[in-house]
Amino acid sequence: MLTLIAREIRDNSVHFGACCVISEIIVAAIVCMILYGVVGAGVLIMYMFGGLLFLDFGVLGAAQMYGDRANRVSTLLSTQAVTRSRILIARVLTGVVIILISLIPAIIASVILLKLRKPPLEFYSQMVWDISIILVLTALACHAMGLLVGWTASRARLILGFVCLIVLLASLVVVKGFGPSAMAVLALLIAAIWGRIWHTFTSTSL
Amino acid sequence: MNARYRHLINIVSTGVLVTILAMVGLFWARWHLHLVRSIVSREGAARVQISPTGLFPFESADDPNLASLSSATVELVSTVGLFAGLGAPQYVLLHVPRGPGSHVYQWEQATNGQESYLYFDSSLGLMVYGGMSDVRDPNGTVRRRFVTQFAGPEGIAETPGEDLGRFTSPISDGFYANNPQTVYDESHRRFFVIQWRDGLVRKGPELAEAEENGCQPVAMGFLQENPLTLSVTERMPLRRQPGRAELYPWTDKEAPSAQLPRMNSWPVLVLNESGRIDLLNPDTLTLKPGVGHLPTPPTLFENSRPVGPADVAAFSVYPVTVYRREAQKKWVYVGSIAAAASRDLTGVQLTAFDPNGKSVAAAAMYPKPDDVYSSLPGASLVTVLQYLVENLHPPASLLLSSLTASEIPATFDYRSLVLLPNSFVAMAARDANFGRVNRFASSLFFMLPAIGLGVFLSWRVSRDAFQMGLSKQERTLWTLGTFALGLPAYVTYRLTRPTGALVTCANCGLGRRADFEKCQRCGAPWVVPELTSPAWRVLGAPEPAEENSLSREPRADIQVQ
Repeated sequence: MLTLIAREIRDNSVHFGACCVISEIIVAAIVCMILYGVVGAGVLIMYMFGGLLFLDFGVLGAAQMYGDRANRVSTLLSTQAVTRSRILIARVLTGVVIILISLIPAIIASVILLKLRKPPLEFYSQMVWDISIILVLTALACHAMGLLVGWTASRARLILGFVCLIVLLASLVVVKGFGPSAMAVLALLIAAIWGRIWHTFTSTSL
Repeated sequence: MNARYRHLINIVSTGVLVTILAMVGLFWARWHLHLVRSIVSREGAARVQISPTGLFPFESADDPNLASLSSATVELVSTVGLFAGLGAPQYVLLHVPRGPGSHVYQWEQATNGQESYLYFDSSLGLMVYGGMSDVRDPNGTVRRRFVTQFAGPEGIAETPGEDLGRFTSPISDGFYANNPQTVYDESHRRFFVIQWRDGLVRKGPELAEAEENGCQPVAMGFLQENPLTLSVTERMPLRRQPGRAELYPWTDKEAPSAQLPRMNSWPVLVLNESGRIDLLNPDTLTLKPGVGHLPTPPTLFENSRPVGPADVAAFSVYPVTVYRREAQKKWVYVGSIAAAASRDLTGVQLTAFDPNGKSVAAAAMYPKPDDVYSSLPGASLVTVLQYLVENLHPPASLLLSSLTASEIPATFDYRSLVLLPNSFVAMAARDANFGRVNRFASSLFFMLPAIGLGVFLSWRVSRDAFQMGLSKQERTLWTLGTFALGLPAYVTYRLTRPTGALVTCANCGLGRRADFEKCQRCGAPWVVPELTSPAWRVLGAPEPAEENSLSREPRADIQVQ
């Protein structure tokens, strides 16, 4: 499994690097906002690069599946002692790893800086907790949607499907907010997408 | 894992995925239609005004010195309401300090970086105040320093402790939080006044049970919900004096700011779950019940019962006080001005109540909801589109909306994917003109297109499932599921149905599945050619093995029978 994950990371090293760089930019923006009070530009940068980061999670998922479909990677690997389920799990785990590596530093930076600079009010902890969970779940959903639409041979279908699904996903967060109901809906959505991908991916003929 | 479970997982996950995505799409369709309706009907903000308010007994239209009458104006900005009602803005509005749902009642940062805050710590069950305060040292000197104080039902201390007691679900208002802070706690069913500067907590008498006096406070202080959507402004009557600027009639002071009541002498209004407004006596901490009520805004369908805070999209209640110079020499409560917006933000009602809770003036917004839904240019088209979009929802969702029409808070519609508390179906289910059965029947009538669509789609699914050879049990489940869940279930079926070309059955001539042993229509098995030996024989020919000749010449001795 580790070999498969390492291979996935190697194959998608561009996205991996991009996510890390964007994450660092966001951390820098947070530091500027809280320590130096650069609110306007900081918020703008955070929104812009935040959107880019989530888009990249989706593109990563799509690239993983589209590359496989185009190059028949899983078909080749299936001739070895590897099942398609394991290949899919490795892809999902790769996505999870990249998402955590990208988001956790930004979340930790926010928490530390807020604790240093702001009074110990209870609402911060609740808000940071809620929003962090929603961000991670949204990132997972973006990656899962990329995996879902990436399993196609048509480039037009890939792009259109990806754009539509990402817009619907973003609007879902706007509609439901950051509370428990939004978490439940996102978790359900992620589970459903993983179930659908698993069935599609493992039942495709060689 | 066998194929059956795999297929089941596929159906469930596809169904959930399609349902969520379809519901999000339909939500935005509904939301945009609401937005278009707001723009078409208002062309900006809608205002309602009453003048005079009838709250000032000395105000007389015959008074030659009266420069202007008192007035109250309510402004509805429904487009802002639609945006502010979405889940993400709502979360932020509810959680930011001093927000309507926040337990952070005060949080200020001075220019020197010094902060003061007041919040409820739910883990301690105590109110926590932090800020600069005059503190007397043991040697008697008073010094100003930053202190943190904790207050519970039993007292105030600089360290938290069990002896302070616990608040469990306190209601307070940040505007009054400075000093003294009034708190209501449902578990104690009494009001408290926390005097932070004096280090005292005063307890009020325990309230009677809610069933006895209808007292179930849900908000106090400045009573408002969705202030971005609905705002009330009030103007006092002005008196003209020769050679002087216009002044308020009850005082001779010139500076208007000096005529405003002090913060701690403002009347504290308490809003109950039923919509009744009470007035809190700050000295005895007892309630004067029924000094007002949330007005019932006009709606498309009759809604005559008194509304509670959960039944309106936005409300605002503004207490009015005057300074009685001659008599009590203090600020006296003379009534309140209350406004409420209907669930769909098409109607607003503004009412002025005297101190006894009697309505003295009222006005409703124009155009009325009937016009907003039908008469105004473009309104009919929006109504038809809204009705069609609502009927694209699953019939189960509409039925649930009808059954829970009165239970779901009004603002829930702006972030709800499944339940539609402001749909035509739900509005009909709340219609006060009819009894319960008739309301349900009326609600079903509005569901007819959705039911028709459900029947049509389930028929198509049933027919296709029969053609594809699904078992009777599977067909029944799919038919019922498609009828209840409508479009999402149909799309799910199309995405997960068995695929593969049908071949013509030799028995019935219709299409049959190639992977089934028997035809799913007539039950005929495959026609397999019999493996019996043919009746004809080749006689007289030698066995090939015995014949060693490689001659290619035809042999004349072979006979065929």
